[in-house]
Amino acid sequence: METKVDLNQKIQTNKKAKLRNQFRVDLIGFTFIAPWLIGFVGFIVGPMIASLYFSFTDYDLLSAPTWVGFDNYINMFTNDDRFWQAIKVTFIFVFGSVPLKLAFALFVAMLFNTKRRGVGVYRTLYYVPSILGGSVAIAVVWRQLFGREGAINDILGIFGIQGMNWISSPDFALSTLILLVVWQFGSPMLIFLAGLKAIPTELYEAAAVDGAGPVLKFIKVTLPMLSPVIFFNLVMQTIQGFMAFTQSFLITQGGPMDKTLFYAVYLYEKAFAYFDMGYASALAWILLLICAIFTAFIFKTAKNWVHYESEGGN
Amino acid sequence: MKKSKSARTVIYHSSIIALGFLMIYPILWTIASSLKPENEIFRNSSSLIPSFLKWENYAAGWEGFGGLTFGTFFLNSTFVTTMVVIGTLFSSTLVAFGFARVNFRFRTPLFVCMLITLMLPQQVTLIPQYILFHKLGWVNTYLPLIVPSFIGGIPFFIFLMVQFIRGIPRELDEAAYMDGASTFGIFWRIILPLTTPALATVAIFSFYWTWDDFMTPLVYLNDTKLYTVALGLQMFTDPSALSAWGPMFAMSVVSILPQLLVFLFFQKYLVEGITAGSVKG
Amino acid sequence: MKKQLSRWMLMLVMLVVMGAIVACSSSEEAGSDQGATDNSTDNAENSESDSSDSDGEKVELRMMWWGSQDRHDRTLKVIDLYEEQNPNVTINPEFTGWDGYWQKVATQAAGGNLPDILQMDYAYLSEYAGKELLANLNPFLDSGILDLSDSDDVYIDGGKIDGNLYAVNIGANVFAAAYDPTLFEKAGVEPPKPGYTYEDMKAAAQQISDNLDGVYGLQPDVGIATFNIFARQFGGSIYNEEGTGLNYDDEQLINFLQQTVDMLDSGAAAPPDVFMDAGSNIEQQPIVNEQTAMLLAIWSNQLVALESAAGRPLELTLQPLVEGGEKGHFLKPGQFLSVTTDSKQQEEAAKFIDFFTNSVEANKILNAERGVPIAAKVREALKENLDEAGIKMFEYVEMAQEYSKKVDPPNPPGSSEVEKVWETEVEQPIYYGEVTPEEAAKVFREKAEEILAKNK
Repeated sequence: METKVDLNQKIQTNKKAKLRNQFRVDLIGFTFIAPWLIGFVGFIVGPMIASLYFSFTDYDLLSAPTWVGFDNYINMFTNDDRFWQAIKVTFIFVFGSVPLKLAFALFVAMLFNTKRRGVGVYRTLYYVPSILGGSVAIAVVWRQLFGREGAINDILGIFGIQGMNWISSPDFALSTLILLVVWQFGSPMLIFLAGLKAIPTELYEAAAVDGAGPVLKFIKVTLPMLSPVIFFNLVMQTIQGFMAFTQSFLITQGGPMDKTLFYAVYLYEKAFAYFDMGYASALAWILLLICAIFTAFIFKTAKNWVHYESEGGN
Repeated sequence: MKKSKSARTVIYHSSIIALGFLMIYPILWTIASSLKPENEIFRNSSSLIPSFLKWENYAAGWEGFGGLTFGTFFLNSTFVTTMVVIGTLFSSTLVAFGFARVNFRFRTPLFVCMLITLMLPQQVTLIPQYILFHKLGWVNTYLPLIVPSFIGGIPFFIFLMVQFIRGIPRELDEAAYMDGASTFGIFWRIILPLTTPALATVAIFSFYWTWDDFMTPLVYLNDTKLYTVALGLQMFTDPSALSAWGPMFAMSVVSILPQLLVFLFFQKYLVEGITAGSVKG
Repeated sequence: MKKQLSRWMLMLVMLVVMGAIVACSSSEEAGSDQGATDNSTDNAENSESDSSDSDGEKVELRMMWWGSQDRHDRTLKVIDLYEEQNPNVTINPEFTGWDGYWQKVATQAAGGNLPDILQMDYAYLSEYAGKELLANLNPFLDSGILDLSDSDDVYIDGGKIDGNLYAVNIGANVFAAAYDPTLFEKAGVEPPKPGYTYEDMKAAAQQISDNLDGVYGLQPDVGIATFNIFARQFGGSIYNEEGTGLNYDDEQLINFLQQTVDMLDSGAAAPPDVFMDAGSNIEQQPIVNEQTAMLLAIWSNQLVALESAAGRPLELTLQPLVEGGEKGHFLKPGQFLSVTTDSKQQEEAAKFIDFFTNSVEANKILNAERGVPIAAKVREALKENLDEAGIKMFEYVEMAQEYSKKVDPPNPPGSSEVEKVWETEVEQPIYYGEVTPEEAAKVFREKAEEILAKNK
């Protein structure tokens, strides 16, 4: 975002020409982003502002909202144990699942980034779990898999380990949900693969000439060249982690004892089970704030480790 | 030398297959359950072998609900999903190019706005959005499902494309500028071909997300003739009453197939994507 | 350059428009009923006396329900039957599964776009009726359009708030326990007979756990519905009449919880490890896998699903009684049909509900899938029609009448939040031994009363 287009440097005749030139660039830019801008202004801004307004009201969905000022926010921080429980669970979930999922996705993508025979089949095999997504079927499957009579315990039994009911244990329920999202690592894997394909092969050749082994190649070539994509995956997975909903909603309904109460599930409960849309909106804006802080932080650090070929490195 | 290489190949393949089995075990379980009689699905559930193959589950599932078959749902889903994939490819590439390559004013604040829209949970904008679409007369049509994709409704893809475009060396653009290409020409002839793997990724994801999305069609579609597969799958079961588990699993299996086909079709672009290097060289 | 750009802009616009047109035309037929509901957006209240629906005039109704495949098939057939008999009426079915149903309803309510006929749940009734989203059906009762003369008051009263009927019960249930007769026999234990007490149950469960390998006597339950039956036997209930507070002594709750804690300690009852992965699906209860011989909490209409998953006969029996207590059971409306105030054809909607309730032919199709029908002659006619599980359900509901008294008023607003507190602060911590009954009772009272105080 930061660097200036070279066009600007070339034309330095006078201010007027510069201004005219900038105007032309603006026109082109806005034409390109027009589709998004139309949607943003037409369909997104309005509902977002509405939800911000709701967050300062008592709104039960069914009758008109009444203004209550900061009450919802104050309540949330001073008088709501479940809010703090949801925060705790969500943070554990994000910090547990995101690094694991990304590391695994990158590892598998590296494995599949070869021209060996049968790689296409493997890629499909490993992507299939992600297709099942958040359906009713996967909810049942996961409960059975990690249930008392499930396959996990059968496997543990082979090694003589006494199994238990993982999915409903207060200590392990959250971990099995983390395992579920790590298992569905298909989407970051594909993005990594696409990123790996975009790395010019001569960079590797050059590194090989310098006598670099596979590890050095990975550190010197792959990581920096892949950094825009790693950055993307990190930002998106973090945001999606904070907003995670289906896993808990369909499989554990937040239980047992709120041990898997994702923030978004709590929010959903407030909005549609307890008809407290005002409070739910306040929850949503706090979540937005949390996501924004983390994203801003990642963007800040990005200057030090994300390498853009188009911007001549750092 | 040759021997050690083949040994490595064997290790490579066998470890990937072993891990792969873990990856698809749940899918195997789903397939097995789709062929089990009702009273075996939850009894001895870890067994993958039904006592007999109950293909009737597939027939019963396909039959759907009172004359409304899964054929209808598949047609609906195919239509909606195809439109969304086209819309997403269209809008995300254009918008991403604008953000990544054109230095217009307000670029950064607008980009931040776009990211922010990703961070607000849908649940709280749903009601105002519903009222808006209702006023427009769009409820109970496919418009609320399709139109947003044409107008960049999924910032995830825009951001993804931005990242890929920023990874492409600028010298390529500049060379083209010298040759007298327009901005659009650069977008069309240089950037698009170079981002083929990313485009394939966008296509695969937007297909899968739309195919799998349950909440949006649930809220906006009323007429059951318009329902999508994801909605149909969800109508077999009720936690507190007699549910049709076998047919549900059967149709879950069937609903994976189109996604698999789309993946197989697009994945070759993931592999064969022209890399920046090969153009330069 | 500019020229080229504008050309592309044109193409862009065309593409969007094209997409829109294709999408529109493909759903035109569906859009038609949109017009009918559009105008009703903001005049929910004054549509009350809109009775332009004389015979012969075209009437379109929207009807919405949740359920599984079986229910959808049956309900759709009944709609067909009604349309056949009333050629001027078209009913557009809108059905879904359970997940998300209430989100859809709430969204439509906020948009003023509720269907004419809505399947209601007991837990949401007072919330929706209180917000004036459900039509008062008393006028239709008076005018005879909705004829419930064949139904006893015990079946109807659950849908009344302050004497006004807001919802018609379409399937009655009684809370029950289920047991596996074969396992009882194997263990040499007498199966529970109506009138058995908590003490009897404890002893029987202990004996089964001792006598059989890998089988626990009982899947315990300290859910709020089970406690309600317990509290009712002491003349109390969960909520007070006004819905502003709780209506039981903590002493009772502590005793109730202590019984389960004792059984968990002694091994008479299965540990949570065994039954907590059942989730909310009735088919996944451990009794299906012969891991427990008895399931303490079940609604009578769920026996059908339970037997189907188990593939062998199971039996229903009463909840255990408190010695010397009052009658605690009650006839609960499993599901209702309501007419919404968004509807412009309330009279036609009421006519259909009348048909759904009283038509023998329709109910033969429905076959009591939602619970026991409320009209006496329908019940009589169905008895010949039923399979074995259905007969057991009918017989149980009939037998349970002797042990029943009037149903509590519908749950007050805020009750779903109170129930969540129960689940997370009482039920689950008790199973896992994380709290003592005294602590649980205290915490629950505090939090529940805070929520219910809003109704004052």
